[in-house]
Amino acid sequence: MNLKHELRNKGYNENNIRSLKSYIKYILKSNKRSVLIFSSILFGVVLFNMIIALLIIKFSSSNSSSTVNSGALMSGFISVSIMASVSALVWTSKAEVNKAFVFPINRQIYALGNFISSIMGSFIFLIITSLISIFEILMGNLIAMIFNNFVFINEINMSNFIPGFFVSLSYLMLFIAASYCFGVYFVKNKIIVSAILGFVFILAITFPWPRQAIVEVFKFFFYEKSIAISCLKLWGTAMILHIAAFIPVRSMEVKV
Amino acid sequence: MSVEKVIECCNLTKKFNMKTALNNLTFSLDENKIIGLIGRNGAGKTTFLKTCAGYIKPSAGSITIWGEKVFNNIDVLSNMIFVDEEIQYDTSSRLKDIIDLGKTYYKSWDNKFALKLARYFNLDLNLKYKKLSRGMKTQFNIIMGLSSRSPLTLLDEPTLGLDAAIRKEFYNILLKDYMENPRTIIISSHLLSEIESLLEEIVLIKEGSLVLHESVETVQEYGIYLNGKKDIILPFIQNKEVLNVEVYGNDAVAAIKNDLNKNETTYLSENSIDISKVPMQDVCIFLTKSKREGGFDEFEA
Amino acid sequence: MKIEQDSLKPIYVQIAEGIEDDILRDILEEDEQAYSQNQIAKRFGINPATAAKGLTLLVEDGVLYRKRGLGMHVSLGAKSMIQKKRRDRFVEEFISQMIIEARKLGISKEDLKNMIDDYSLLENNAENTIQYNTVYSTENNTEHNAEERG
Repeated sequence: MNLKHELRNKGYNENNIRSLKSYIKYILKSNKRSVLIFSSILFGVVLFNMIIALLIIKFSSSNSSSTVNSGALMSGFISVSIMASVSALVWTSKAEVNKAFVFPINRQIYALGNFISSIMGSFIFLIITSLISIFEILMGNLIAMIFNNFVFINEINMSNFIPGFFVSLSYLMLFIAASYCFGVYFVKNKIIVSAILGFVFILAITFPWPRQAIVEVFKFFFYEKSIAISCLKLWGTAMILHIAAFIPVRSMEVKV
Repeated sequence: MSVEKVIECCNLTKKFNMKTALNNLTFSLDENKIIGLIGRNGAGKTTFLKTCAGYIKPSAGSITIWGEKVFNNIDVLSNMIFVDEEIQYDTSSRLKDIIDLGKTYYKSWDNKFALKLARYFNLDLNLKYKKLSRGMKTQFNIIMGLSSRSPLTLLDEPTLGLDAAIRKEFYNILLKDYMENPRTIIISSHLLSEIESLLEEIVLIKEGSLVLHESVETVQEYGIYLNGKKDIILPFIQNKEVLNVEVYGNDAVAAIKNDLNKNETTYLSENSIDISKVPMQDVCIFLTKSKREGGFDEFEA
Repeated sequence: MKIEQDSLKPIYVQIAEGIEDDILRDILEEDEQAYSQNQIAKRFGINPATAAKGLTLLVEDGVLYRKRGLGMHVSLGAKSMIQKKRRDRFVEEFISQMIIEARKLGISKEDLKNMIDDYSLLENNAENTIQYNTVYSTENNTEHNAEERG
């Protein structure tokens, strides 16, 4: 069987594409469960919120009103950020890496697959959050029409939704990239990474300048006024982090 | 008709911290054969197979598959499958999902065959992988290994935990599938006596080094037992290649390399020395025992 | 035809001899198709390469030949070829063993000759019917019984 002749005659490399597609499909399928759990919890929270507000109206003697605002988007985004970061961290554990390499995959596809699926995964999560948010708005308005004492405040409109979506996606990308990169280096050398962290922590407690540095980093990412530049910063950093994570992965051996 | 070499290793060495798992292995394997990788526990069989599978890198020397380096080479990896008991499928996945993954990853995957095997082994494909017993895990690993129809199929102890009846049927299934879909299959197993009729070649490894690489016929004819009076046998084997000697009172049983000429055979017959074939399993045991080893009876703690 | 794992003879030799036996017993006829390597491999659960080795042995001896596109066939005159070959080996395989054993038991050459004569007489007098059965049946599932009278 002459590999060179058989496979490289094609314009693209069939094996690379097949492996990449399969790997991404595998990642998305593995996370299907967390998507379902997340969706049901967020949906439940929204529903719960509405019901409590309704019950307050029903059971209170005075003419008090209940106010509900469209918080699903924000709470959804925060929970996704936490969940996705944890997932990214877990994904770098030995067990998960071994699972990925059971099937034909090389380290480039692994890194690229992780990057692409973090975009896709984030996108899916935000879409679901948005859908639940839409449900919340519709429900809120409907109930407000029926019940006089029920007030629904909708802070979302078309002009702030789409940029908000894209910015949220960018932040999510950054959080995932940071967790993933940290995870890769941590798994490779637990002692050194822990030592560095401990060192930085002690430094930050004793001296003021590390704390200022951290605040500056925070400002750099979160206080940017221009959306375009903010996204550039976020995506740029995310990509740099993914590339940094690829370096130890390149020569990584798969040991049980 | 030139047969291509599927695996070629040259001074392949692998060290883990202090231990040398593979020690200057040099041999090459032709493609489209069933080859047995034999050796004791810890001899380096699994390390070798993992190096073939691109899990680990050589410390020194080289290994090429179809002429290409393995590590990180998606073209080679896509045409091979490595199955052993430690294989880490996603434990919370259902079996049907893992089979589906096999279908997407492997170009030559035969899904009908996989489903048929699952039905034959009575495996409920809706089960999660973590719920399988050891025997069921082995059966599932076999399904994955054979259904991939990978041109290079590496099976590390593929029959662990299977009862004798299922083992026998597995050998039948393997042989039939190999005849219908010729490919290179490397099996490492302790049960050499069971699989020897399946094999075409044997690679025998001891402590990471190559002991022999021969056709199965050569190893089957490798040794003969001489059984009879020790006063006849012991002098006779003085300048022979001795694999093993055991003395029981006045009798002795010696296993020697099979290179007797006609005169020697006649001499032995006339002196009532019984000549019989050394089973392949025993040949391998003798060739891989360490120097200071003896039986338990002679052992002094 | 059957395979003995413990025999001193390698499996491929046993296969070759088994095919020769089938030729001698007229189960396989001259210029007809013999067995394919896959048939043999499947029947005995062995690697087809081992079966092929057995067939190759017979091709080298001229007992079988490869017909283009149709597989292994029995050569013309194979039966007599085999008989001659076996006759030549008879001395080595059986006679030398017999002489060695006789020597061990202190039987002289004269005694040995007498024993052979006596045995043949015994054989002719008794009406022994020996039936040969073949374990191996061809694809058409024909089984042959051969009778031999002493």
